[in-house]
Amino acid sequence: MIAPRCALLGALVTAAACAPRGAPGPGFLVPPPRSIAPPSACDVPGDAAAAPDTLSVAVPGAVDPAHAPVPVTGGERVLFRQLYETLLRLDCEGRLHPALAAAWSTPDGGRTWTLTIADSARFWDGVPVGARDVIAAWGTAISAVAESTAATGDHTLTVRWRRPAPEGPVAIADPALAVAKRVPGIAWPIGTGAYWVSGVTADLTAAPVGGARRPVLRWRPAGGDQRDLLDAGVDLLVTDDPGAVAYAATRADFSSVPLPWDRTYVLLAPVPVRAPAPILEDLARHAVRVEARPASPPFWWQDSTCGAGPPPGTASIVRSGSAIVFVQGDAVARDLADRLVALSLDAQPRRAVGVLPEALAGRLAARGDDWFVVSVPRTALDACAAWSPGLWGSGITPLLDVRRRMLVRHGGARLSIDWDAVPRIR
Amino acid sequence: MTFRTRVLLAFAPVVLVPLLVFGIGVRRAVRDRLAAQYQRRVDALVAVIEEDLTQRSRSVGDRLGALTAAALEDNHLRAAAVQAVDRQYLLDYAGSAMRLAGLDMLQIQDANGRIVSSGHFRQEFDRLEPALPRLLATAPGGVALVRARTPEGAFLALARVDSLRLGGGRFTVVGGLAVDSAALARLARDSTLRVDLEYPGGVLASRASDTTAADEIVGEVPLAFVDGDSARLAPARIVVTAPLTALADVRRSMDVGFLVAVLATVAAAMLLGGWLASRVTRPLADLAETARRVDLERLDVAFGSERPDEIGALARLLGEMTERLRAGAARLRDTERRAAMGDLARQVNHDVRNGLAPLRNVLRHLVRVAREEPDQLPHVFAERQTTLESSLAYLETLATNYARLYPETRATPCDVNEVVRETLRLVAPPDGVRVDTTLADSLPRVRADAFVLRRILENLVRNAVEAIDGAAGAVTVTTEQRGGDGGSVRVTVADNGKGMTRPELERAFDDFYTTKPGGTGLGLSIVRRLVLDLNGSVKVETQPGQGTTFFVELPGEP
Repeated sequence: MIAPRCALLGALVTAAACAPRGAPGPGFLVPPPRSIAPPSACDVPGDAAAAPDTLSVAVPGAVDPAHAPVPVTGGERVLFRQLYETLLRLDCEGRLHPALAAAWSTPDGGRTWTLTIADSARFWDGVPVGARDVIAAWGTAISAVAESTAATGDHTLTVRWRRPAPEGPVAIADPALAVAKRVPGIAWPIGTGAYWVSGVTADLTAAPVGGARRPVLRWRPAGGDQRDLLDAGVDLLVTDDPGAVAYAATRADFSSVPLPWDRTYVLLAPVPVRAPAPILEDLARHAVRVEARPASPPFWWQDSTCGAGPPPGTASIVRSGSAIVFVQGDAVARDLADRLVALSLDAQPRRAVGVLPEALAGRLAARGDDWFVVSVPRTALDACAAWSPGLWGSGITPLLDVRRRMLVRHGGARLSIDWDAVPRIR
Repeated sequence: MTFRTRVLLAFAPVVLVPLLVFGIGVRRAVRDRLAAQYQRRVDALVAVIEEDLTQRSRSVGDRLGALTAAALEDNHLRAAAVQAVDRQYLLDYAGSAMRLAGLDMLQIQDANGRIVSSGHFRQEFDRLEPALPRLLATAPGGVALVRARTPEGAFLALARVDSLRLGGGRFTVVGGLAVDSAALARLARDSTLRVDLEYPGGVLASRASDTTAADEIVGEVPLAFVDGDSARLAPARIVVTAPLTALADVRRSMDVGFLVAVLATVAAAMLLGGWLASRVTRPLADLAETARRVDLERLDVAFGSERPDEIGALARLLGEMTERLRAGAARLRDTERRAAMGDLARQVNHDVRNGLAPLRNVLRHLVRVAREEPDQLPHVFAERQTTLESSLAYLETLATNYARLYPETRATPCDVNEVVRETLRLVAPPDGVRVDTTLADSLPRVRADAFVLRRILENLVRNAVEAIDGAAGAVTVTTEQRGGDGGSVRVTVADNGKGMTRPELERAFDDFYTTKPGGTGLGLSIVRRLVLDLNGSVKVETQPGQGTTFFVELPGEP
């Protein structure tokens, strides 16, 4: 049982590491939900009077329709959020908002939730979204957090959770549970979001569904020097490049909006590694070249209600190596690994070794005495779903929290920030 | 040990020793020349490496000089280094500068030896390595091999040190170029040479070591070595090695070629020696075989030879000696014959007397009767007539037998072919036996009694027919001329009968020796005696089960 779970987690971490920042994980989070709330700090004020017809957006990370509706890269994470809607939406402060579902209630203190789909919920092709459509779209993804689902009416369905969720059915907001349907011969699944898209070219155009008064999204590839994007007329750039952020600071027509801390870099080792605060401060300030801070608790993997118990001892640890492993392409992980080599925290000579994302899970399974620097989501909608003794049955030392920034051209569209630091066009 | 074996054994050292001396000499000369050639190449490469190191050191120094000059002009760096403003810029400075300068290693330290920026290992900032710039400054030529750390492991660099002052503080700048296997391989240039860098704790090789090379020629370039944590300079060296594998290959090829040459030479020597020994010993063996047949009873062997050399002379000497022996033997036979004649005469005398004694007695009796009793004479004569007749018959038989033993000869020029034909007319072969003739034309006549000659041939042909022993077979009578005018005539009587064994052959010409029931054992003895009386010779070749061939050679009439 351990091996599959380990593989699952390995894939999760791999996918997370592939992305520059902010891979969504199943699961979650902290503040208790409230129902429909007034505008909050999650809303990025825009110039309503400007109401631009077009919004040029650039987010690092390639976009592949084959992944839809579950994003893999950073670019997909932002684009798919506009294309594929979930039943409920969770904002950056942990508040639930209606999305495809207009109402939700529980008869048993949060173990079972009944959701009512809004009459206005439509696929891009105008077909109303029904309860069976939702369950079909979820497929097996829902089983990670729910014991069962059932359509109790054309527009009502019930979900029985594995653990009581008295704070609300927040797991429904996981983008892995976005509602879409695949149609043979069409590259993009038919979505339920505010925008729809067609074509598979690099320069995508996402148009508002139903002629809503929203700007058309021009999706720009974000390769190369991101400062060039700002000069080329991009209205919204999501980035962690300090050069681009610094350059935007010199531009009067751009605002720099920090997104929530969405990723945490942790050190996995056979036994917990002692990392004093000055070292964490040193890592955050000098070792990495992104916006970072010493990792700040609480951490969702410390949720003791999952019953996983304390990490196992080290008796079964086989000392087979002395590397600090990171995923190639993750510059932050590499800088951290390099710095840990220089610091020699355990007085054992180590060397930094980069592995391909797909090789990380195997390396984790046979890690021996290796250390691993990996990034995990800062929040998880369901901690137990993400818990894996095979992966986490060792010392986890949180190192850094990182976040990205939105560089927004003045007069652009209004935005709001979801629970996983993904912006949504309002 | 035969003469042939001695000749063959003598050939081996005669041929092999010079070949071995030649081969060893060539081998040594090739080795010396190749070794000298490799030594020159190693020395040349050592000189090239020394020059290359000098140029690299100068290049590193020039680049560090340019970097320090640029650093002095960089106010952003000054602010970061002196006023601790924007430390990220300072931390990244060495990396950018290192790439711009084309260096593989760059480290900036403050006056306390603390790394404030590292190009090859950005994250090693704040590490203390005060000994490194100090040791580099004291290294010969200001250059040393440095083991530099990176997150992935250590690497070696040929490094120098420079310094600059910022805001009253002194900073040292250590920069260098990587020295790895590829760099050593580039230094080696020649794939037959290997360049290794030996330093405390390790060896860096330009290529995999050739473990099969037993011999190598070595040259070296000394270097100073600084480990990041060490407090003093240590020796290192670049070793240029020329494995003499090419020499080993040449040697191997030479050895193979030499072995082939030795084998070929030995084979040729054996063949040549065998041929020469055969050429020398075969006539000698023939002479020995011929001489072996010579004895007083068989002096009809011929030692004739046309060779102009010593062997020919020896053969002629043996021939002359045999001729003298033959003459002596003839005299001896004549003596023997006379002795035999005496014996025969005495025997005849005895036999005749034995035959005459009854006659004399009868005659005396008849005389006495005629004188004393004349009337009884017819009666007594009739009574003694039987005695008279038996005595006379005895005497007639005696005469016949003696006549057969030694017939009278009358030598005249005789046509051998005619005698052969006449003889074969008288011989009636049994059924299944065919008698063939091959008679040469224009044969010289021989001086002989035709009756004797016929008797010789008759004996030989009858023997041949009887040797076939009732089975199917053939007897061939051949005549031919030997030598030129006035030469000899050879008559050959061959059969494919039972042949003779060696003991039978040795006694074939003995008197009264026979293998045939009822035989007298006188046939071949008489043949031999008659042939010798004609100054001829008789020779026999036989093989048990395959037949016998008699050669009768008679001197021709001049």
